[in-house]
Amino acid sequence: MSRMQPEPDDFQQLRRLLALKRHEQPPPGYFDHFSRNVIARIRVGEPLRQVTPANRFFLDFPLLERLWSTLETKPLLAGAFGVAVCGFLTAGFLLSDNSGLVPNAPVGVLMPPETSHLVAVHPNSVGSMPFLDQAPGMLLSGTGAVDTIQVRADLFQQPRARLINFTLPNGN
Amino acid sequence: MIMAEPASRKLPPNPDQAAQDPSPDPVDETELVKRARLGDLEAYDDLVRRYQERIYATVYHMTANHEDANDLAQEAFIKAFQALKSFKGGSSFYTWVYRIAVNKTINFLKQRKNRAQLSLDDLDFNAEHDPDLVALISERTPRREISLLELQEKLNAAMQKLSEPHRLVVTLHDVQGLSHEEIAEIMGCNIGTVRSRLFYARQQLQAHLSDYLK
Repeated sequence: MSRMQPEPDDFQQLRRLLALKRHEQPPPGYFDHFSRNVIARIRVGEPLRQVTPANRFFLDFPLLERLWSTLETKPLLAGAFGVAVCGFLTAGFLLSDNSGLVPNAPVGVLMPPETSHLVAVHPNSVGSMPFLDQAPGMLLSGTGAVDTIQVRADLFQQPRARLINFTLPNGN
Repeated sequence: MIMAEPASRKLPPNPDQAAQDPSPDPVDETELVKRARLGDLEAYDDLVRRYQERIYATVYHMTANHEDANDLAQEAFIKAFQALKSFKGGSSFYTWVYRIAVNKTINFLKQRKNRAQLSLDDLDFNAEHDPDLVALISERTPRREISLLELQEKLNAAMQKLSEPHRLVVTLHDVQGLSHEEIAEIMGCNIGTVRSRLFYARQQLQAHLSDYLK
C-alpha cells in the first residue's frame, strides 16, 4: 500500500543532509559588491532607456508598454494582432472610398461635402459643365449634356444646382 | 530570518541566516519600493541588500554553479527594477523578486540542459560543527572533512538530477525554510501541488543518496 503523506521521520536523515547546503557560501566579501554591481549595471542601462523616444512614449502609456511586451514574447499573438490591424485598416479604407458615391446612380453623381449642390452629369460631358458658368437663376433644358437643370441663386448669390427632372428622349 | 511581510510570518529553520538577516520593516519596504519606482537608485540599493543573499542562494542551489548564480541573481534584480512600474503590490516585493529570479533561472536551466557543470561554493567554517552534519558524518566515517566535501558533491549531483520544479521546492522548503504557502505563491501553484512535489523530490533524493543515509 502506498502512502500519500510521509511520516515525520521518513526524511529526517535527508533533511539533515540538506542542511549542508546552507553552509555553501560564496567567496568572502561577495555580497559587499553585489548590490553595487547591480546598481552600476542599472545605471549603464538607464540613460539609454530614458532617451529612447519609444521608452518615453511607453512611460506615458504603461498599458501600451504591457501590450508591447506581451506581443514581444508571443509571436503567434503578435501575428494575429498584425493581421487584425491590417484587416481593420483595409476595411476602413474600403468603406471610406465608397462613402462619396450614391449607390445605384445611373450616372456619376457628385456630392461635394462642403456644399449641398447636387449636380447631374452625363458621362459624355465630363469636363464641360456649362451650367456652372451660367448666371444664377438660369434654367437649362434640352437633350444635351445636361437634360434639365434648374439653377438659382440663394441668398448669398452662390449657384445652387438642383435636379428636378431627368428624362431621356428616344428611351436612352 | 523573517520574510518580508507580513510580520506574522514564521521563522525558517536557519538560525545562521537569521543572525545576519534581520527582519525588514514592511512599512519601510513599501516606502523603498515607492521611491525606487520613481527612479531612486539608493532606495533600490537598499532593497537589493535586503534580499540579495536569499535570491543568490536560491539561484545557486538551483544551478549549482556560482558564476551562473551571480549572473542570474544580478539580472533578476535588474529586471525587477525595470519592471517596477508593473509591480502592483498585490504580493510582497520579496515574493515578486523571487518569482522573477525563479522564472529567469528555470528558463536558463532549460537552455543549459546538456552542459550542466558544477561550480560549488565553499562550505563555511560552521559546517564542520553543525550538529546535524556531525551526527550524520560520524556515523559513516571518521574522515569528516573529506566526507563533507564528498557529501557536498554527491548532494549537489543528486539535486541536479531532479526536475526544475522539484529541485525548486526542495531548495525553497528544505534549504531556505520557506513555508508551503510562500512557495505556492512564488511558483504560482496551489499548496497541494507544493506538498506532492516536495514528497516526490525527497523520495528521489533519498534514492539517489541512499549510500549516504542510514
